[in-house]
Amino acid sequence: MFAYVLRRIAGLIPTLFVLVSLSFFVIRLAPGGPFDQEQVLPPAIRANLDAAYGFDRPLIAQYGSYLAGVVRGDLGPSLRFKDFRVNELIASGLPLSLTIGLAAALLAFLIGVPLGALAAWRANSFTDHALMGFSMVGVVLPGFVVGPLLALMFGIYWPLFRVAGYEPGQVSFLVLPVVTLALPVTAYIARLMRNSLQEVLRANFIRTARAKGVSARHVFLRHALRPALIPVVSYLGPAVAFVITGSLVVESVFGLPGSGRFLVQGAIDRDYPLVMGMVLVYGVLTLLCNLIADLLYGWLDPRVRLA
Amino acid sequence: MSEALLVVDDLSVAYGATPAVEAVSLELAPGRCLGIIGESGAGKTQAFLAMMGLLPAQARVAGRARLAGVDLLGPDAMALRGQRIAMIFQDPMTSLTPHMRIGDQVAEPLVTHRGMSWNDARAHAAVLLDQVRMNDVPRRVRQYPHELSGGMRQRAMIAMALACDPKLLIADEPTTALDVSVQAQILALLRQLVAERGMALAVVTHDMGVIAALADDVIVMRQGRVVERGPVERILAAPEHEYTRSLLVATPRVDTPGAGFAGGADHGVTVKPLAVRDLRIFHRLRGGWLRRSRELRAVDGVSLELAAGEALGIVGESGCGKSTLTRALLRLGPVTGGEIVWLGRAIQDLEGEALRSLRAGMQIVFQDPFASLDPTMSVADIVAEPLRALRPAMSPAQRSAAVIDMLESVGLGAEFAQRRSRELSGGQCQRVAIARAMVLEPRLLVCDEVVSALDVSIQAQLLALFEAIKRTHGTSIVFVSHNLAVVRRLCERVLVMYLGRVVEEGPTEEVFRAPRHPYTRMLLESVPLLDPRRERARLATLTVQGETPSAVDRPSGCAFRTRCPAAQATCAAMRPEPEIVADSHQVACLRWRQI
Amino acid sequence: MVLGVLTALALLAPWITPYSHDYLDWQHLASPPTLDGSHWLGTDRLGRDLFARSMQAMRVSLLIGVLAALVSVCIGVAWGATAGYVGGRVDAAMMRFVDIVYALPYVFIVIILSTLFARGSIAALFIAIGAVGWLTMARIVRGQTLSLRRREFIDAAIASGVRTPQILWRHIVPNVAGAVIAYATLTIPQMILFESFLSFLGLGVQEPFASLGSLINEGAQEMESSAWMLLVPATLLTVLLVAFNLLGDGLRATLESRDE
Repeated sequence: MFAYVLRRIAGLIPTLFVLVSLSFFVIRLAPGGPFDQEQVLPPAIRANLDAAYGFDRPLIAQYGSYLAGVVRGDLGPSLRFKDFRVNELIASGLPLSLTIGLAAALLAFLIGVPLGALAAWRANSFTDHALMGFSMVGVVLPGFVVGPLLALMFGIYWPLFRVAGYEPGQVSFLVLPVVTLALPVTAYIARLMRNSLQEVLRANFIRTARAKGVSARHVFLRHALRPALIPVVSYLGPAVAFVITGSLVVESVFGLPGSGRFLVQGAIDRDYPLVMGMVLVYGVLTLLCNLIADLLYGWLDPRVRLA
Repeated sequence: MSEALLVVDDLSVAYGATPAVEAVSLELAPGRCLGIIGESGAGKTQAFLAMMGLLPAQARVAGRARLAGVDLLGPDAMALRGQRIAMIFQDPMTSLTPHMRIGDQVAEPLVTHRGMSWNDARAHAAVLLDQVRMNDVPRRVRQYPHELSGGMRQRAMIAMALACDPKLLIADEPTTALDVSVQAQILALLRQLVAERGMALAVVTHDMGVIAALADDVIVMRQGRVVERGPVERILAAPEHEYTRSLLVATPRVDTPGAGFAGGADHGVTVKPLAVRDLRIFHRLRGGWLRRSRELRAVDGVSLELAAGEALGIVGESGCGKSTLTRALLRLGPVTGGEIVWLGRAIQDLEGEALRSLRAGMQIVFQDPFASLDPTMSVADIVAEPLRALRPAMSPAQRSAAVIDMLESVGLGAEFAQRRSRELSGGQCQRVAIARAMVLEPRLLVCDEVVSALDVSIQAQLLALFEAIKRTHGTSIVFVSHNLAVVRRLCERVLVMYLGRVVEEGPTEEVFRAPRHPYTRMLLESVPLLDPRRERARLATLTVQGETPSAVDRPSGCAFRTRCPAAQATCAAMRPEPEIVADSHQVACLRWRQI
Repeated sequence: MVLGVLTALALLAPWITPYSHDYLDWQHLASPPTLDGSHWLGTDRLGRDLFARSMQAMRVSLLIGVLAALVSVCIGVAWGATAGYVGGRVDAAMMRFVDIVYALPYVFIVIILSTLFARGSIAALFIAIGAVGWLTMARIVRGQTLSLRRREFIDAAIASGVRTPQILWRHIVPNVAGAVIAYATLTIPQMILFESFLSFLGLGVQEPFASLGSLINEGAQEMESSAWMLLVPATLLTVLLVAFNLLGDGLRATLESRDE
């Protein structure tokens, strides 16, 4: 098992490398540079600025020194927010974004899995149809629709939670954003779980378990649940990716000072180091989550461990 | 005459308007074994699933079934399941829960019904596994199903079923998915367990050999009904119903002379169209970062020759490399070393157009009838495809004519031309596959387990078709099968393979009558005979042991030595080379003269 | 599958409207938004009829969705079938590429790509969306091709002397077509959603055109005073997406039951 883990971790590094490199070159390709937004600068000043940030050096050299910086843990200076380094900017917003994202993902799994299992347990009953109906809608609604709607309902017509801004420590600011973010994922997981369980319950080994006289409940919990979780766990990676992108929306709708805004703003401003930093951080997060999903997968299905 | 344990009266199972089982009645006394034989769709499994309460919700069950007085179809039956009545199924791999350890799965019925603690149950499970003769029990108990071989898994299933000492054990095709040598061991085991425990056993099967081995009384089922019943000796020796008779006639015997008996062709004179010399096919299993890569020797130095118009049988159990070999013959798979000579040309390295131009002369038919045909194409298109690819000069009209001709010669009328594969039965699909293969009039036809997935009666029809092909077209056939009786019926010569090597080769009659290699002997010993008395005697004195090791961990020297009753120290050191026993009969064994 | 009928209704609706309204600027009742009356769904801040705008927006969204799905199908099928059929190193390399791009939250790609083009360029929009959508399609097609590759009828075709391009065209493609259609139908709502997302961020369709996403954006801003500006496009979007999803799900279910 340990060897399996090591192998998986080792596999991450090349991907990360490509990720960083790709983004580096692509963002540089975009027309317009970081200093073009403001009024046209006299060439001399422009040259100075370029030199100060190293833009007059050949691209490969810039690439090299950027990589060197990354390895050291330094993501460079922000071009837009001139007094800050990228590390600081990201660090200012990341904890909040992570909190929201993690809470949403956790919520989604904790609610989605039991709901899906319930739907499968009472297959074709009213409960099943109702749950699946809800999930169908939940999957489809985008965050920027749900968010404002929830804000409308719970913030304005029926003020239970706060809908804009954020004060550290005040959970009521976070409830609606987290719920908005979690909703589609929960719905998807519920459906996935239900379909997966239905398929597992048709398998031969379930028939054997029933033939042994094991009670229906134990057949469900002991024999069917674990294999059924496999597709759900596989979804962990994409789920996190979704949560990350969704947090952008949610932060925007609810006015939260997370790190998502840096990405969009950075791309528009051509703030290269900032965008790069965001890409790197989010890339690492995604890959890490994929890794955890893989490891869970190995625990659930013994056959994979030996592969 | 003991009191009947299981009484079934007028049992019917239907799905909507379609009946699966109609008015089936039977009785079974303790200590006796009832064999239920029939082909696919006969409803035999459905009847017993009904008795176990394992049918899906849509099934409607009618009639009566009682076990020791308790109604099996009523609400109290649930308590009996797993305790008084148990069932084992056909495919042990998919029938065992993949994420639970073997020991736990065997222990589970004890926890459920006897209220034991898990630890106590596990201890008891180890005892049970011992009784089913599983090797290395302490290690096995902690393993998962996929770490066990087929035979071991089936033993685990049996142990699981016997955990609570049931009065009735139902075995649904218990040996169908297993190698023939393992099958023999499981049959012997079942007989022994039944005798020791005084259980009643109901065996559902399509194989007459299994009936002969286990059954005291027999019921023959066809399309949901019982067509004949009686004691096993009478049914096998003097069946009354014509269906039973047709089944017995269609079942090929391993102890009856077959194709080779009519006198082999004169082999020495004409040039052999196909010759294979020291063929090697090795697969490299990638190890990844932290493991060395290992080598899998699928085919390890095989040589053979095939004469015109002759059928060569290749027999062997799983992992022997026969399928890999046949695909390589047609260059559908990789070749690592050695030579394949077809019509005088070495073809193992040919590529591209040169290879393509030869394809017309060699064709193949596969095991799975449905997977062999493209589901989106019509039968006519499927059979015409080789013509379009390799005979571009033909006009569409000529092609159609050739296709219709071909379909008729394999026994399918012109009305089949526009059908798709999902509208056909297994036997019909195989006929289409044969038509496709023969439309180019090849000189070599390779058949890879082509009848293994078919019912016995269809099997017999196709074998007749192959015989006709041999006769009329003079096509040489390479016939791969694990079924020795079929090979004896069709092939003049036979080649026995074990873990990628040829262990014996020669005229079929001679090899079957007087096998020289211990493995050939084991294979022949494993095939069930259709005479109940001889069959029981055979099982009682069975010397077949062990299972084929994985091809990745092959034993050194002679690969068979781990299971060979005559193995000695030298067998581990040297690899045996083929030696001539008699004219054209060869064996690869270091000790064949002494045994 | 019955619910596929609903989709048809959703699809027909936008075509009814342009015959009776101009698409946009119906500056009939200029400034303040009113509820119902001659404007069935009210008007927006600038007095444009919301119904007409929504219909136009729906057309745009549908157009983008279908076209983007088409792009992703073409690229995805070509990529996936080749990777799956050829196998070996080529396959590993091609799928590695997919994996890496997949690992990036797709937002990055879109943002990065969208900055490469001028704002509001529809072509850029298509490319951005299509560039993201083909990944899953490629994965699915590759999976299907891989399992088909192992089926004996492909070997039989090779043995019959059929050349590789013909095998791909006559055997692989018709057999994956079912799965492709089913998933393409599911891709359309994803594309629509994605486009709405972009519009919401301000990166998508520009004035005076609207898509459902930009309408929702506007509505969200006016939410406190004119809730209908949000509710109308939101509901339309939801219904559209649900309908497509149901259709696609139904197709997928029939596909899987046929395979058994």
